[in-house]
Amino acid sequence: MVVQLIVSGLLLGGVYALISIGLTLIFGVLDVVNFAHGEFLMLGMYVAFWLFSLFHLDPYLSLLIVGPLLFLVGLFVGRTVIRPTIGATSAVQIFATVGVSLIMMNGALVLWKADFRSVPTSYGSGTIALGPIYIGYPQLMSFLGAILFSAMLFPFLKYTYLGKAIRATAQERRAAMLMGIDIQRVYVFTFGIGIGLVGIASALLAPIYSIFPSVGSQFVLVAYVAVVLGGLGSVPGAILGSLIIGITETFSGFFISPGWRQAIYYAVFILVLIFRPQGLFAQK
Amino acid sequence: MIVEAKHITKRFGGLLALDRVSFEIRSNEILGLIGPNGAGKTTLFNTMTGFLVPEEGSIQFQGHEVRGVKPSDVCRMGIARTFQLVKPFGKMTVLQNATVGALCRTNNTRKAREAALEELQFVGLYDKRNVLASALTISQRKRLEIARALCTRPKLILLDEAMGGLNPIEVREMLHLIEKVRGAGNTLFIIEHIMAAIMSICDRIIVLNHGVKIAEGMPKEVGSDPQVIKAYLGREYVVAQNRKP
Amino acid sequence: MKDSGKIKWIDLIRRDTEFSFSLLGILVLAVAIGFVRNPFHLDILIMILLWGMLASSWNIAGGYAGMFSLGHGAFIGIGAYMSSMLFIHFKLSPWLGMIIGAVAAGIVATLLGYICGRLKGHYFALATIAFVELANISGVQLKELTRGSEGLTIPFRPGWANFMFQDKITYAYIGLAFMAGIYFLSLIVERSKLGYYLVALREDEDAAKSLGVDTSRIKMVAIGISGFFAAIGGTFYAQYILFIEPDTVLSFAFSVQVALVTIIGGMGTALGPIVGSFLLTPLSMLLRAYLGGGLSGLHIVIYGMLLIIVVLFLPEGIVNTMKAHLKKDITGKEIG
Repeated sequence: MVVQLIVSGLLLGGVYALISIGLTLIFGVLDVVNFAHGEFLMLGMYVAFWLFSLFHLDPYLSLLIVGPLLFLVGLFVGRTVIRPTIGATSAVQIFATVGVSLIMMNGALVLWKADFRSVPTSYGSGTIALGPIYIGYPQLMSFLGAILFSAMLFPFLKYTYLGKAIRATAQERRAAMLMGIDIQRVYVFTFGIGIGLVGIASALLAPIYSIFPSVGSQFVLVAYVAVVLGGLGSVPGAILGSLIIGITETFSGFFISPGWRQAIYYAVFILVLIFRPQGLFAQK
Repeated sequence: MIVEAKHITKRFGGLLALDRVSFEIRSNEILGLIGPNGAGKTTLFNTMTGFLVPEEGSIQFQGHEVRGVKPSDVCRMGIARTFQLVKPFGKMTVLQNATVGALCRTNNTRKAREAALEELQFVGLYDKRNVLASALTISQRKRLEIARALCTRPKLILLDEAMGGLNPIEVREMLHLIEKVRGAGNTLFIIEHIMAAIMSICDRIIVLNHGVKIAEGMPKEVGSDPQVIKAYLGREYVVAQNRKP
Repeated sequence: MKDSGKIKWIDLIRRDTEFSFSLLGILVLAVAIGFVRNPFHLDILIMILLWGMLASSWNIAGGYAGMFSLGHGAFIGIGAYMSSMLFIHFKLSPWLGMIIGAVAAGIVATLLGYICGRLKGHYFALATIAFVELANISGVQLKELTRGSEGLTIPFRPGWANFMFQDKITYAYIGLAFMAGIYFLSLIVERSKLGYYLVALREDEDAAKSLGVDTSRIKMVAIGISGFFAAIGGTFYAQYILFIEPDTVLSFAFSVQVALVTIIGGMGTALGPIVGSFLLTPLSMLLRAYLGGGLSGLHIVIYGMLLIIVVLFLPEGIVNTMKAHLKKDITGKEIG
């Protein structure tokens, strides 16, 4: 039983990781809290839904469309709304992304109504049995997809020019400027990448969860807790944090009523912020 | 003697920023603090004003222990400080900035305002009293920091690179102001990099290198101390000094 | 910000333009209320006053002290629920319940200020969000006390003792009194030692500390006062709407709203939240009325766009931007 919970938790955590990585990247490089992160997830899920409904495109394939599409959306929002607020007061930054969040969530409500949509793929509720453990097929695919794309991120950050530019900007903004790195572009690109990752996550999640305008809010809370646990700005931290949250969620779902479960997240969140703001794993 | 510091030690993880630094500050003197970057000068200021707590050592100010006391209480005890990178209250006027300092000693805003106006006169910022602090030049901001600190009626003032970023004329004006502050009965402990300035104005100088006090004494002694020359001043300085008539 | 030691009201009127205009404005409003007949218009006016008072309370911590809270819904909710539960279960007059609720909220707020005092900028904001969500969940889960997500209906028994009235006009006058009260309180604080310390804290915490400002204590005072008055607004809300639920009074949405109104109107200035409310409240209510029905959510889309535009182009808020312009014109030189 415990093993089952752990395995399910890890699978869940894997998907949260894709969402969290984007969030921590954006925070680490731009120093902006993206309140609209969940809404981009929602947008991606709707796109995956429409691609499925209209063109019968399997989400695991359409992620190749949704990912890049959301990347472009991220570039656009990053350029128009986010970039001008960098360096401004917290109030300005927070409300810029809150504004984006409001527009997206209610825009979806207006355009697509509040009805729950779903992407009923043929393998939707299929499970694989590994001995006594049951693994949901779509959950497994999500997890593998998450690992795949996270793995692709590391060499990108390490070896490509843009990746290095991103890391440099995250570590020491002024030095990066002096080195000739165009920080403004780094900001916009990083935001785009963060949202692109969310796009991939959304396509992976589409077969599993119902889709409705405020679906993003639930996921974004989890992403925040994972990111804070892992240390804001740390990609490995976000991954670890997400896995921990995933396991916590499956365990507490088992032992605690769903109503209070979220309360635990929030409480942990506050406690980590107060006592260990650099995250559980930071060396500093 | 108004400050007696013994064996101040401060660690940041594995880094020993201050290593058993001991010194004293005498009443109404201007004591200089010099040393290469990273020597621990600002760290020392921070331990004296409650922004950092040293692991070991004691700092006695007029007979009271200052180590571990929080910054706002240190101010009330009579130690004021300025910051290396000036910290004006940007959205307040010059007068309002100074008034904040004066409110340390009174609850009445009118009285505080009057005291603030006096100090602004003293440092020469009276004409700018209604200007937003964010609109001031660097030299004016430095003077505002001093005025603000003076408003708290301190007995000891710690100036952290008050002359940093100033052109030669402004440096001379600042020197003049510092002397004026001392003349009004204050005691000053100043960090500086501009050698000519510090040599000319200080009664005594302490030299820090890698968290260790390597010299202490009158400017001339310190200036010709081989250890100091090696660590900080450099031979060119000595040559330049010896060339002077 | 001007200062005058002890307040002499006559001097204030003579010297302080802002004060005199506001006094005039309040008198005009008081008279105007008597002339409004349309119940919908009265409703809008009352909501303007309510949000004006709520935003003003937020402004004390968020605007003056820079403690950007997105959790004020918790304090509003504490006020609303305490006075309502005390009325329903113990027949206690909501006036008393309001004070009790406000004190409770003030204490909770002070505790929050103590716990989260060290957090800066968006970290603090994030912590307050978690806090209000915790409050929300508690409100939903503690069904025996609060009736959970069903919400609490306050039985309508009109009368002064019960803080409930048949006619809306009385609510409007009370709302005006409350809002004016907090406004004048803000003015007094602005000119007092506390006011100076709040702004110093906001502008540069380290410099403030070095000048004798006990910043941790000031933060607690600021948010304590802020929470206290937010709760009073919460009770007023409960007594007017006569129905409260966690998704309104204990919500992140309300928390965003109070901050929003203040930001657009102008943070750190007494008039800001009021101007903000006069602008935004009718806008959102009218938008909801005309667009809400068929295209549910469109009004919030417009709201969000307005928010972004203001935040990008008028980050200081309306009142502060106007003040900056005015000061330049009148005196010719820069004035704070």
